[in-house]
Amino acid sequence: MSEAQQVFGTETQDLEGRTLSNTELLRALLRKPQFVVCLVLVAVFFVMAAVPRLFTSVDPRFCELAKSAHSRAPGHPFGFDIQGCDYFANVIYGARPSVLVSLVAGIGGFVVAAVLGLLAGYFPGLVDTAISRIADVLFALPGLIALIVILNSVPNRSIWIIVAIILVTGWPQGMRVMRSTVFSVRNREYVLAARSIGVPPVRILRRHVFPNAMAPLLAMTTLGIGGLIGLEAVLTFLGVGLQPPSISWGSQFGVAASYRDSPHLFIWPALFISTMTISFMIIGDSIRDALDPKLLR
Amino acid sequence: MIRFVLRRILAAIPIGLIVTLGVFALVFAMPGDPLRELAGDKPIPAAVMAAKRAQFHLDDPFIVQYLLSMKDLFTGHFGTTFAGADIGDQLRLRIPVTLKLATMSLVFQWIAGLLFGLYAGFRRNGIVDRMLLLATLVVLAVPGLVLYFTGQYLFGVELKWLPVSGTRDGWPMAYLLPAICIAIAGFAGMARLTRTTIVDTSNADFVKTARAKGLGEQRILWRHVLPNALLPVVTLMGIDFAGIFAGAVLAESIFNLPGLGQFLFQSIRFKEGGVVVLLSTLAFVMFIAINLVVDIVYGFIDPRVRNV
Repeated sequence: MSEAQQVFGTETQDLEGRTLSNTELLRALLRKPQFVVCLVLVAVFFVMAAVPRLFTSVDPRFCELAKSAHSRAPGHPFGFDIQGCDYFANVIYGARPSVLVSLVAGIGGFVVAAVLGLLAGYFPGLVDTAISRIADVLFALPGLIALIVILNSVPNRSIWIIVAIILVTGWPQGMRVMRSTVFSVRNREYVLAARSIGVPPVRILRRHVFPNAMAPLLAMTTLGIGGLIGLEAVLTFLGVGLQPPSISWGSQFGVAASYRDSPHLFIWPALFISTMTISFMIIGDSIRDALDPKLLR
Repeated sequence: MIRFVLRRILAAIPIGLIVTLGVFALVFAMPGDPLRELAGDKPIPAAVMAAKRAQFHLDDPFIVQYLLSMKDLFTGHFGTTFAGADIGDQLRLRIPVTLKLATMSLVFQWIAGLLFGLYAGFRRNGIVDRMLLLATLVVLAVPGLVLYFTGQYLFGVELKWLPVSGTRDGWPMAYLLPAICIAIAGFAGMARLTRTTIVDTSNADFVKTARAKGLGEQRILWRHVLPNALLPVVTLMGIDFAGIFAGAVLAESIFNLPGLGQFLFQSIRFKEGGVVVLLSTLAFVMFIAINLVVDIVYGFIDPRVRNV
């Protein structure tokens, strides 16, 4: 996950300079067919998470043990899972945790990294030192280890707790990106002008620095969402994420891992989760391309 | 140089203290009694329980437990796990497994990433380049979990070319499949980064100057493009290398390899604070050491950042 961000981060490096206005950006994005297709796909997944009943009328928790792990049958396009429940309904209902992670961890991660990066970049000295040192400590902890340890000490893990812990341990990378762009913006003429006429720092940060320094972090966040979805699945697969009664793609992988003779248990959630992560990746890629100053010249 | 290394090590000590203390505190805060869980439903005589608790210092206050496990760490007497296995022996058995897996996958992914990245970078917008961009986008987007499972199912279960899991077939057969899977996941980033930096450097002013003053293409490539283009690649190699520990947790549990990642995962499960701190310290020391090596290598490639 972080590797993808690292790579795309380098490709994003020289995003400073003139940034597009929001309508220009939107128009440039909507001109790309792959962006529109992926946006529609993500929208479908969001609807799937919000109202799964639109896609299937079958109750995912209605099971007949006699049909355990049967392959597809009329009315049950994906077959049945180990308990004999309809697998199509289960896969549809499994979208909810992944979508929640993508939304909350994506937006939340952006906000946390942006706020801390703004503070660290705009107030060198004590604030910067404190934030950067905490980031150093979190960086030095291998990410997955910290997550496993923390999640193990939490009983009754809900999706919110998982997202919160991902947020708490995951912000340093985005913070560093934001901090470095703020550094390049903070001494521009318009910021100095605002400061010289006595605009309070919070307003300078909100109105002048943030809009001009957010682009690289935005691209990085959208590119990282796919990784966050995968991370939730990994945690649930390892048994430190969501717990059994909740339906998620991660726990379906966990079950599929022990029943290798029924590949349909693995293929369907894998297909869904990959489609979702690839869609987010292409959206992020398009945003980054659209923000690329080389295209503006 | 020596002063630089010493300064970095000194700076790492407080971070290391906070990291180990934090990890230990988290394990300490886990609910439940590790020994009672180990025994399952069977009742344990109070005397045995008390002896065991004394052996593992479970009744001491938090900070004493932490200091005791740090003492074990520095003296090298790691003791036994709650289940009675000697931790030193476990490490001797498990470190080679993780090292073999990591070296193999890193070698694969570095070779493939560099080759494809260099080729695509020099033949920009060619067929290989376009294919590579598409393929790497997909590989970077598909979750590692899905990739590992697909590889395992395709080459292990269906085609039966390679063992599905476990280390029974020894090196290299048992390690080939997990290493290839990790390498596929990792090569995409490597290839993309190499391509980008090659393209950026080829368009840089100093390369144009070199060409303008009539240098041969070979000399431009070896003396001007590559040394500059490889800087970010070296950083990514360091990140890859430092990340093998965390990556090992997932790969080793899917392919059932008895390595450090699996050991760490089990220890967290059984709330073995000492072992978790030991392994986290190992990971941390590796992280610091690799970062240091990367910085020193940087100094050799790029005189601008030579550290004194």
